[in-house]
Amino acid sequence: MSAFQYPRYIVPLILSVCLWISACKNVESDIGSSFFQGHANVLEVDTMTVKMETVYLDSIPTSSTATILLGSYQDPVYGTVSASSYLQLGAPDDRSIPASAVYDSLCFMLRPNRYFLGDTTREVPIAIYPLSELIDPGETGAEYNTTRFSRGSAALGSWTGRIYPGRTDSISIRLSDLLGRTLLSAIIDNPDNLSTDNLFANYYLKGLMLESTGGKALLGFHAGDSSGFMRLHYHLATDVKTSLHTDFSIADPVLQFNHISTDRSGTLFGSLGSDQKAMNADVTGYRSVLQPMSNMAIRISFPYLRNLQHLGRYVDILSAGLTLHPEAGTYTSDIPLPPAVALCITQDYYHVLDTVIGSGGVAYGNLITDYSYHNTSYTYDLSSYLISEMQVKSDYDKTSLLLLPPLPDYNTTFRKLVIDNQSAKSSGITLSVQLVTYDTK
Amino acid sequence: MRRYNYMQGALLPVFLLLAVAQQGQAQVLPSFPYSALGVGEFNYNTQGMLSGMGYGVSAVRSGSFLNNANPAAYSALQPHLSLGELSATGLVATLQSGSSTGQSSDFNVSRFAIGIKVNKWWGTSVGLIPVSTMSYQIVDDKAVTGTSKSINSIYEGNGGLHAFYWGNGIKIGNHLSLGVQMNYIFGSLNQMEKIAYDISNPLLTSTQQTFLRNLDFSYGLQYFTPITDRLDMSVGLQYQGRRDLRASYTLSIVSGGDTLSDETMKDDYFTLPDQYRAGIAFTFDDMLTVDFDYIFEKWNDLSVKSNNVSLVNSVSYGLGLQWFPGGKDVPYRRLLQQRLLFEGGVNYNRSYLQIDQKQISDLSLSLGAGLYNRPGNLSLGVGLEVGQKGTMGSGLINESYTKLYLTLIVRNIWLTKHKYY
Repeated sequence: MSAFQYPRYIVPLILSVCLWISACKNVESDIGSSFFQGHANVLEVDTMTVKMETVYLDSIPTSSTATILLGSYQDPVYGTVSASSYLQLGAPDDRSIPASAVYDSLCFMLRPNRYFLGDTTREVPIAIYPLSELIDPGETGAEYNTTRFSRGSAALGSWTGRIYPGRTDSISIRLSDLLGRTLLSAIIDNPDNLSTDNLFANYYLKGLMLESTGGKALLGFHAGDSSGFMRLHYHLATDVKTSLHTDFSIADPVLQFNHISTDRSGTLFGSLGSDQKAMNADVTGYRSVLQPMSNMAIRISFPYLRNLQHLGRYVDILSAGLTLHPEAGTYTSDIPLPPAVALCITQDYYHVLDTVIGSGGVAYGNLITDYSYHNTSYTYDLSSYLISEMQVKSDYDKTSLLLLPPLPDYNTTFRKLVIDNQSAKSSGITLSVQLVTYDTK
Repeated sequence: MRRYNYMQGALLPVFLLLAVAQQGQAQVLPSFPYSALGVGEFNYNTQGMLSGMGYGVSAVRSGSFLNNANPAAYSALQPHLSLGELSATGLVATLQSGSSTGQSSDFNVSRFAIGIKVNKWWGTSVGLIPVSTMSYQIVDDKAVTGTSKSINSIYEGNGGLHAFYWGNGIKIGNHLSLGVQMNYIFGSLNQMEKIAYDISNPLLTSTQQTFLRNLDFSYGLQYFTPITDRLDMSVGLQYQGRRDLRASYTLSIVSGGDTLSDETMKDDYFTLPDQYRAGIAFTFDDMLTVDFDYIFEKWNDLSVKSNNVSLVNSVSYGLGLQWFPGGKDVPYRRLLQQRLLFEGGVNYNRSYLQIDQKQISDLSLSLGAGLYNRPGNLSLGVGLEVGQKGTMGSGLINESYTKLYLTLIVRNIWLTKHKYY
């Protein structure tokens, strides 16, 4: 039997050889790379122009913040800022005072909220004036930092003393006895005239204005049940030893707000106002200032962003990072920076369209503070924003980024942020854009 | 019998398991850098049962298998024969360029052909044969402009051209055969460029797909005559004219999840040049055939130059030997040693590629064997080609390769009975 049955094992053997060849390991290498010019490139651009301006915010709402701000502070960069507070009190909480009540005193109670800016070692004068008109929130339902209401010329009371924001529990400002007696009589004799907040305001006290002039610091106080109210002390003729009182609290949070005035004369920002709503950092000492309570905010834009499209036939932004370095010397542990700053996407000056979003929601800059080496920085991922901005077809649709701290810092503190622009000796703004480009040539 | 069980019962499963296991590990794509140029690397080996003779085949006339190098050879098929051939090609290559080295392998089914001897003067064949192959994956470093960082540039390509052919050989008289073959060349080339810090997660991927197609004709001639009682001679000529392959392109560029471009570009042409092929073969005692082939391709006329690569005239020489220990009528021999054939060849090619003014050359040795089963309805051809391609120099690549050609032939003789002798 010489039949040669080769298919029975030769075919499987050859199939195995084929499989083995196909399974031989391929080793990655760069051999042959010289045949390719390569159309795709990745490049990082950190020299793109960032236009930086200080813009004037017409007004910001300061009502319903439960904060009373008083005092003044002279900032070396943007001038002197002063704060006063308006509030409307409601009807007394106890209107069943017996006729035998004897008036003792009328006081306004303030409790510091620990916020301060400036020299708190000096004495702080506080004066309280009666308003001569009712606080009217108008159609917007809010009061603003620019709002004023007329007040009487004579103070109802005043107080001067040192306030230690960290230690002082509360201060009591003695008010006019005439007003106190009037209110006690009204409660006893005409309780119906102050049965509601409106009646009380219309008949007896339209409101109060708290003011502090001549000091060197701005101070914050609580405005609520335990602070920012008026207390009428009395006792009963039959019991001299027992002190009694009734309180007049803030009628409505909307009816308490802070007025802020800023005197920028003598600074590079002197002409900033409703007539000149934006000042390029190049004309303000290569710096821009964010301090919303003083109507100042920083606006940045990227005028030549679309030029990136000329770097290749097809260009796509892979990532973009914005780093802001506050100007050294403009912040200390006593003059802290805003802990969070959001980037609001705006058109015109204030028309906020959206907010730059980070990985965990709204991007606030992840502030890292370094007082020693001034490596303080806010960092943002601008990838999505710049990708959409680069697709904008017309200049009309271009947007800017308005730097604003979130509430409550936005309208209850005077924390400022000073950033130097790219023309400054030490630029405080860096935009790093990583792009991928593709050229068909 | 014991040996047979051992092979089938132990070695083969282990071999197969190893192969499958290695297949799972293979993540880097096969890379043959020269295939990145033009429409890929051209295939000059006709494969089939002649794969062991390399290029030296155009004058070979065989009655029991196909010779795709010259359509005039189809008329040599034995009367009433119909056959089908299926070929597969494996390739293992070691690459070297400067201090860089690489290794690649690939395996695929590459050829399918059917041949029929219609009548005693007309043989015809249809099939699908490879024209060119593109396969590369090259990973290079690239500087990120504006930084000191680097990034990977990945160039990948696959695809190639095939020809669906219909060839006819007509024997005129006793010494002449003329052939004409219609070829529909078609194929697609997929070339990708990626840029990535992490290769598996590219930042940008551009994919250019090129679809090529063309219908053309090639012509062949074989003149054959006995010189003495023991010596036969045949001469083969083959001509294929310049062909413009119509090329349609699409380009898509994807960055992350964004499609930056997805466009169909203007059609273009890729031109294949005039090809002239001549061969002469001598056969002694119907047992030993020696064939010498010369192939000339007129690439100079195309005046193509891109970067450092230009196209120049290509010349190939092939010397092939074929030995039938039992004579040429192998399918019908009783003894194993009579149903065998052996082949050998030497091939030298000065390629159409000139890189940095240096023409790429390719030198290879071929060995082959064929085996027929006893009924004569099945045969197996194995060809091995070991060669070296390229020139060492700045940016050039030396490729040492081993190619394995496998061919399975199924034969059927219709309207007649087998006669063993």
